Amino acid sequence: MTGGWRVGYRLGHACAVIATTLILSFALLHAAPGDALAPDTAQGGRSPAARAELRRQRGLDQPFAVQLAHYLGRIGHGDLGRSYTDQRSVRVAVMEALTRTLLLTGTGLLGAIACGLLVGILQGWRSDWWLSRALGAALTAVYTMPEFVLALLLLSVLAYGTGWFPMGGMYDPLISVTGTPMERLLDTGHHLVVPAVTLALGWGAAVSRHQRVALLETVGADFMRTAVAKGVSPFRLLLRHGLRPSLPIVAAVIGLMLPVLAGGAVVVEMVFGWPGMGSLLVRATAARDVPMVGGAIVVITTAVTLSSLAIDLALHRLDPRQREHAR
Amino acid sequence: MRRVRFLTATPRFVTVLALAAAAGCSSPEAKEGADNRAATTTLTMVSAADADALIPPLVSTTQGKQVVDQLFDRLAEPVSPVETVGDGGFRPQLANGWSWSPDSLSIAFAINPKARWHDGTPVRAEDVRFSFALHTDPAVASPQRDAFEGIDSVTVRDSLTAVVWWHARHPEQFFQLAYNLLVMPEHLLASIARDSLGSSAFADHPVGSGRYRFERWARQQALVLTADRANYRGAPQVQRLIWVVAPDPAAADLRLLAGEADVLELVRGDAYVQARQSSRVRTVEYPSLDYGYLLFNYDRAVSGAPRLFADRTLRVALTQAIDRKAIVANALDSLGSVAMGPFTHATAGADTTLQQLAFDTAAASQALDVRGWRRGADGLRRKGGRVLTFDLLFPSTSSTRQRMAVLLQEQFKRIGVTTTITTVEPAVFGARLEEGTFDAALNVWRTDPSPSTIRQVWGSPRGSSSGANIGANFSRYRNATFDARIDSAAREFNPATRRALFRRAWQTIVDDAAAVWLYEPRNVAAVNRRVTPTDLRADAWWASLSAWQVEPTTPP
Repeated sequence: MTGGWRVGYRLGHACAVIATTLILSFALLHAAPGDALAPDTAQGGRSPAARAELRRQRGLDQPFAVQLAHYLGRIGHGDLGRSYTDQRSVRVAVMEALTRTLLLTGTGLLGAIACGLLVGILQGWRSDWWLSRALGAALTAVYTMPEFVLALLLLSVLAYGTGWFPMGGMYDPLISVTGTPMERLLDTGHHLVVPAVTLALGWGAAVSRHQRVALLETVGADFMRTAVAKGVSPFRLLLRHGLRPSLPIVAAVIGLMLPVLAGGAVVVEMVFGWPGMGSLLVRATAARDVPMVGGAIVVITTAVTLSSLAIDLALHRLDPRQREHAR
Repeated sequence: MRRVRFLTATPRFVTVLALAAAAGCSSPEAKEGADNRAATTTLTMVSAADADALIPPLVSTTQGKQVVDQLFDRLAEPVSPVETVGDGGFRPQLANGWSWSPDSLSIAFAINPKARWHDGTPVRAEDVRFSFALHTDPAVASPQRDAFEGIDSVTVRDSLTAVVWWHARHPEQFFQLAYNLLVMPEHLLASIARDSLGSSAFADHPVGSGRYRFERWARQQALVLTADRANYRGAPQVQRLIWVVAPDPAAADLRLLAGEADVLELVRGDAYVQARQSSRVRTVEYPSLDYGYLLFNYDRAVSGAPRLFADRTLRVALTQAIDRKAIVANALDSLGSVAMGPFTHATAGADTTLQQLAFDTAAASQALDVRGWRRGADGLRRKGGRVLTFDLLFPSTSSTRQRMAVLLQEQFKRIGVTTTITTVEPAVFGARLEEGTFDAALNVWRTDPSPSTIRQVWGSPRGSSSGANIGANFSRYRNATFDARIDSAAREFNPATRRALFRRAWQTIVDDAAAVWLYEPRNVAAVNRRVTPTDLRADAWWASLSAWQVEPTTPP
């Protein structure tokens, strides 16, 4: 299959995945117990007549098939609708949340790659060094720790304990209304540190473990011994002969993290009050906010399928065996 | 040691340096911003959820109410404690004064001629008429619509006089209108379709006449209001109000303890202990209008009996089987007390001397024996071969109710009644209560300042048994005597007689064991020590935010 056909085939596949996910999520939300217009059990809220009026306005009094057809038709025309809970445009809400999530998870992922690769290389290349072992043990501890425990631990130590960093949110509200653009930028960066470090540590531990194993396998290979015998310098040996064959495995691991990149890190977002895609989806699902859930799914599924495609193409480029297999 | 101190100070130093450099680089704007912050007294509230809407008829959450009450004005403002009969418990707000018609079927409100919307337009009587129409329009589907039942219309006598007309006079006429109607600007809202108010530009940038004007709303992050310095009622004490959203309760507590927020409206459990021990924070108690109760589904077939809980003897036995004092102490420690009935200590005319059904397991067992529910060798009660068992439903978000469910299960077991426990999401909980697909449930109800609104929850459903309009009477409880007594009390103008009539109605429902009245939580807020709250009303602790004393903070 040529490159163009391959991309075309995968794009078609992505469209099918998005459509299937949309239909399934709509059906599941429809079938799930509970109601976006359930009465407020603490204060009464809207009267049955007012709720019936809202049902009519939202088309929820129509049969399931009609609702589904309208829903898919709207999304097909690029209209993601309005949220049931706060009446906002779903497109605007989802794009805002996506931007915030990408800022958080993107920074976390970059940190994870940097930290994971460095530690993994150190462990694979100098496995008997005390520092490698110590780092390995520390990252194993982080790897086995539930994410919310790690998040609360870092929040308590780095933010509450030392007072160096803010306790949560994406910015200081006062700076957001009185600060200069540069102050606001720095403030957001300041708020980003602890949640991004939480993600970087958790994901970095996974990257380092895979990098270490891949490098250990490569170090023992015949071609490495040949390169040593030929007098290749240790730095060149690591960079050119050691790392390159291990990269596809690590790239695949990073690829597995991509859904989180767009879908949001729910636990970290909730603990740090970071208003991204993860917390948006949790809130929307709990409130049975079908348009918001649908909009988020469209964006996440598109991002994930496209990034999977990008990873496949990257692997294809990095690993000659895959190119051979494709022929 | 010096090295450690240097390392500790470095990140903060770098941040401060960077901020200072940035401020220095863009001097005019930066200086203005710094001046603005230095001169500001700011009050930051941390909340688990964001406001749902900022247009009064669309607001259904407490967070939304906290904000719109600062942005918009009422015709008259209730004073604490809220008195619902007549107009004595109110002081002028948007209206300078008011006059009753001789037959009391209408009240003419004189609008303060100095009142202005935040865009500078004068407030007019037409705005009052428009706001009433908006609240009661079926297309708006406002949660407050039923609160205006009985009000016929609002007319405009002249540009500064709005006249409100009722179908019939009743003691809470004034309260009904003044408490529920927030006045909105007609000139900005009239052109918006009623069914798309929530998605209008006004919904994102509301314009009111309150002492605070809208400044910024970043959804799910923070909402900022700033003092309206030219307000007709004078500039408020606190110059900026900020609500920040912290969905995780532990993170919300930490924000308060770290000094990033000034107010956490409700603290429970560990957060309460931490707040009490903190040198930065103190706790402030305020009255509560909430009560927690175990409600029975009267129309449900349970344990083979078609309407098991319609049997008063059984309900009394179940109530007597429960040591409510022990349960409340166990689940809430000192942050709650045993509920007296479907009202709280803060309810107008609350009577703490009502006769309660005492904890008496022997009497409970005897009553169940009499009704034919006899204990077998396995300790379980049976009648006609069927075990006396029912399910307890509660929402997964309430840890208090979770603890209570377990304790109730244990106490019912002692008299041979078995219970299962089911926990569901809040959206499912609400749907099941409304559908009636539950045996018994643990619910919390927030009462209105008006004791008359008890009819919403405990008044007999209107219509036939099947398909009746239950309102918030999720129990499907029916008691004609109680209905009549509440109606008599609600219609009474004389305060002493009214109090006596309400007492009689409450005693009726307590004697009838309509539900097991479990607990009344103590409302405790945690506030930064630089803040001195005033007038924390049971129905709206935020009502006087503008008058709170706040020491100025150092800008971040």
